[in-house]
Amino acid sequence: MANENLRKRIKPIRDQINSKLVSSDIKKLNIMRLGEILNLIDNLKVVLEEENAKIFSHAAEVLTEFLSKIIFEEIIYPTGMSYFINLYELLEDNIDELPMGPDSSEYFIKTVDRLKSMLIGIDFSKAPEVKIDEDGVIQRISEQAKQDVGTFLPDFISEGEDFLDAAESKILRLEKDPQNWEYIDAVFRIMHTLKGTSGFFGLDVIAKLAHNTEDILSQLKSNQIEFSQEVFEAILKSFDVFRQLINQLKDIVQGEEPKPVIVKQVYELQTKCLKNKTEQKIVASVSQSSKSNKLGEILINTGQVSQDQIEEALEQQQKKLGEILVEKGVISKDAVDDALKKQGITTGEPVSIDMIKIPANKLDELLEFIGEMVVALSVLSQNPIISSITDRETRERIDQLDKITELLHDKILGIRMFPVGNVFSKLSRQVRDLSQKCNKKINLIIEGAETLVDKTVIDVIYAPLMHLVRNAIDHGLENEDDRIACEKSPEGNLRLIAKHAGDAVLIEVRDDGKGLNREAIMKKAMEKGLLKSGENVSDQHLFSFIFHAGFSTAKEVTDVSGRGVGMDVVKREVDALRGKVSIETILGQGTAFIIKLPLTTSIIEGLVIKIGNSRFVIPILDVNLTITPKKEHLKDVKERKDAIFLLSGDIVPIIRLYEFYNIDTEVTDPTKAIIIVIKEGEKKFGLMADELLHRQQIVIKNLGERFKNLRGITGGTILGDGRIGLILEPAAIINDYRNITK
Amino acid sequence: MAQNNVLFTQSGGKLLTFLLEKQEYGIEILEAREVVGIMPIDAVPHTPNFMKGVINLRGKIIPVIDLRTKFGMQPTEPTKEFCIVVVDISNRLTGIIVDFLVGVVTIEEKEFEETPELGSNIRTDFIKGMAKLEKRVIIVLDIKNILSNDELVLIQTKAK
Repeated sequence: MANENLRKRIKPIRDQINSKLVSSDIKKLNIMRLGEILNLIDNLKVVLEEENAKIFSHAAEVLTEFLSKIIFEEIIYPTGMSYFINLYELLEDNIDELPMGPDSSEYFIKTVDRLKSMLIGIDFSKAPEVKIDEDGVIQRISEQAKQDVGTFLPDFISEGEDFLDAAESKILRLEKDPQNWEYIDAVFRIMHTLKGTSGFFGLDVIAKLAHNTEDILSQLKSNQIEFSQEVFEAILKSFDVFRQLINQLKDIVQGEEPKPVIVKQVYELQTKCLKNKTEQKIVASVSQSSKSNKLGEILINTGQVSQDQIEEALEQQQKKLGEILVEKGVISKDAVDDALKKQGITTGEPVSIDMIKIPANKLDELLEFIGEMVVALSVLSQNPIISSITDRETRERIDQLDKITELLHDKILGIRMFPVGNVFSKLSRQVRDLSQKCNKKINLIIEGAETLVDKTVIDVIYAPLMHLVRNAIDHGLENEDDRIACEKSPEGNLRLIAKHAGDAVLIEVRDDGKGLNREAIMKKAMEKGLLKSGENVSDQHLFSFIFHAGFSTAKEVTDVSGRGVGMDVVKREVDALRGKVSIETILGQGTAFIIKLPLTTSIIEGLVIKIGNSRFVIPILDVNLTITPKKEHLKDVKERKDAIFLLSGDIVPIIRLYEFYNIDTEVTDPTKAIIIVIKEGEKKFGLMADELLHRQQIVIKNLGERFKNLRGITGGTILGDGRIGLILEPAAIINDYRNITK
Repeated sequence: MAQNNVLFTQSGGKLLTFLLEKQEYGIEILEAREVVGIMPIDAVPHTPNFMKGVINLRGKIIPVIDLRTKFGMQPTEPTKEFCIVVVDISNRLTGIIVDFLVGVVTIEEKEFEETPELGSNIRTDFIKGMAKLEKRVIIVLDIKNILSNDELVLIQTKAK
C-alpha cells in the first residue's frame, strides 16, 4: 500500500522532528533549534510532495512559513510555538489515521487554510486598514478564532503585558538618553512582535497602533523626526492604549462586558508625529549588529584612549583590540574589562534564565502547606513529651528537621519575592506625566530598586505609592520660582527608596518640598471635630489625621489631587498588608512617608489567648506588653467599674473582649485576667482576656465570604491541637470601641 | 417542575437523607461532599445563633450551621450519633449538623411532590418538595436557599 510506504519513508524525519520538539524549551527562543526543525519540516514537505500527498505537503509548507515567522520574531515566540506544535500534532494525527488522498479530514484542511489566511494577515509591508471609531473601540474576536486561538489568547494577554512593561521602561530610559539606539531597537522589536502576533489573532486595532509606533521609532532612528516631548507623549500614550486594549481582551476572554477603548486620540497623536506618511519607509532594525557599540567607541567615549590610538591599534589588529591596547601600555587590563562589561550590558539582550510560568495559586497552596509544616513542627517541639527527650541523637534529628523546614519555607517565600523596581519604574512614568501636568521640574531618584518583596506586596503597593507620589508632586514640592525664592535647587527632588530592615521592608517616598503645614492640619482637624480647640497633640497624632477619608487641606481641588481621597486609601491598603505608615516632616524642608511592611504576609507570630471557650490570636507585632493590673491601679469611670488602669503614668482604657464578643466567661475581674496592651498612635489600650496560652507561629487562613465583615477579626488559624483560633485585629477593635464610647 | 428536573437528571433522584427531630430530610446527593462525625466546633462571635462556628476540615476552615436552630426546633445536647454533612454550594463548603445520618435513597419522579402544603413549620423556600415512599416521608431541602447569606448579612449590619 502506498500509504504504508509513505509512512515508512517519513517515519525517520518525524522521529527527528519529535525529538527536537520535545527537547526544545517552549519558553526560550533558540534560533538554531528552530532552524533545524525548519529544515526537517522542509524535508518532510519534499517527501510528501514526491509521494503526491498534496494536502499534507501543503500543510507542511504552511508550517514552514509559520516557523520562519517565529524565527524572524514576527510572532511572539512562546505563543507562536505552542500554536505551531498543536498544528504539527494535528498533521501527525492525520497522517496516522486518515487515508491519503482527496477525502482527508475536512477539519484538517480547514485548519490549514485558516492558518494560511492568518499568515497572510501578518503582512509587514502594510498596516491593516482600521476604521477608527469616535466612541471607542470594542475588539472582536471571531467565534472561529475563539475556538481555535482561544486557548492561546490568554498567553498572548499575559505576554503582551510583560512586553509593554519592558517597552515602557526602555522608552523612559531613552528619554533620558536619546542617543542610545539600543533602546529604540529594543522597543522596535517589541512593537514588531506585538504587531505580528496581534495580526495573527486578527486584532487589527492593536496591529495598526503597533505599526504606527514602529513607524515613529524608525523615523526617529533615521533622523527624519526629532526626539520631542510630543513624540514621547505619543509613544507612551500608545502603550496606555495597548494596555487598555489588552485589558479589554481579558474581559472578553473572561466573558465579561468589554469596555470600549478610545483609540482616536492616540491615533491622531501618532499621525501628527509621523513625518510625511507617503514617504515613510520601514527600517526594520532587527539586525543584531547595530545593537552594540564597538569596544573602541566605548573607550573613546569614556575618554580613556584617543581616536588616534585606537586607529593605530586597529591597523595592526590581528588580535583583539583590547589585548593590543593593554600590550602597548595605553590602558590597563581592568579598564578594558570594564569597557567589555559595558559592551556586554549594552548588547541589549538580558541574561535569560530558564523560566517556568506557573499559576500563582499553586505556589500559594504550596506555601500554605509549608506553613502548616512549620507550625506543626513548632507545636511538636513544644510538646512536653518531646521536649523532655534527652537523647542526643533524637534531639539532633529534631533540630535538623527544624532547620530543613525553615530553609524550605524561606526558599518558597523566595520564589514569591520580586524586586520592587518594577513598581518603581511604573511610578516613574507617573512622575513624568505629573511633573508636566503640574508644570514642575522633578528629579526622581530611585534607591534600592532591587529590594525583594513579596508578590502580594507588589500587587497591592502600587496604588498607595501612586497616591503618595501624586501628593508629593502636587502639594509637597513647590514650583520652580518658589523653590528659587527658598534657595532650593530649581528642580524638586523626589526619592523612592526601598530597603530591608530586619523582618520588615521599608518603602519611603521622600520629597524636599515645603513639608506638612501643622497649623493648617490643626485647623482642619478642629473643623472636622477630630480635635477640640486648645487640645495638646503630638506631631505624629496630628499628622495621622491626614489619613482620614475626606481630609484635605488643599485650597483647591486640582486634577491631580486635593479631594482628600487617596491618603485614606494609602492607610487602608497598608493596613491590609499588616503594615504601618509613618510620617516625617520638617516645615520648609520636606516630607517623608515611610511604609513599613512585614516580609511575609502569610505566616505571623501570634499570641494565643483564651476567652471562655474560645481562643483568639493577636499578632505579636501589635502587642506592646501584657500585664495583670494590681487593684490599686484600676480606676472607675462614671458608672463603669474598673474601666481604666494606670500603667506607668499612662491611662489605659480596658476593652473587655468577653463583652465585645458576647462570650460567657468566669473571668471578669481585671486583677484575675490578663491585659494585652496595644499602642495605637500615641495612646494605649488594653484588651482583656482570661488567660495567655502561648506564643506561636501561625498560618493565616481566610474565613471565606460568610465571615467577611466580622468586627475586628481578620482571619482564622489552626492551632496546635487542631482547633481554630480567630485572628484579631486590635486596631479595628479599638476603633469600634472608640465609636461605642463616644 | 423545571428546577426539580435537576434532581432527577443530574442526581438521578438520589438523596442523602438524615434525621432532625425524628423527621427524615434529604438533600440532593450532588450537593453533599462528605460526612464527618461530630467534632469540636469553635464559635465565631457576632454571628446569628444558627451559625454554630467553624471546624477544621483537614486544614480548611469551614463554617458549620445548626439546622435545628435555623428551623426553630428545640436545641439538644449532641449525641455521638450526630454528624456534620459537608455540602458544596458553588465551590463553597459548609457543614450542617444533623441528628442522625440515614443513608442514600433513590426516589422516582412520581414519588416526588413539589412544595406541598404540609404541616411543617419550616419556611417553604427552604424546601424543594416532598418524597412519599412506602412508610417514609422525606422532606427534600433546598440547601442553597437555606445557606444563602441574606440573614447573615442582616445580623452583621445590625451589629454595626
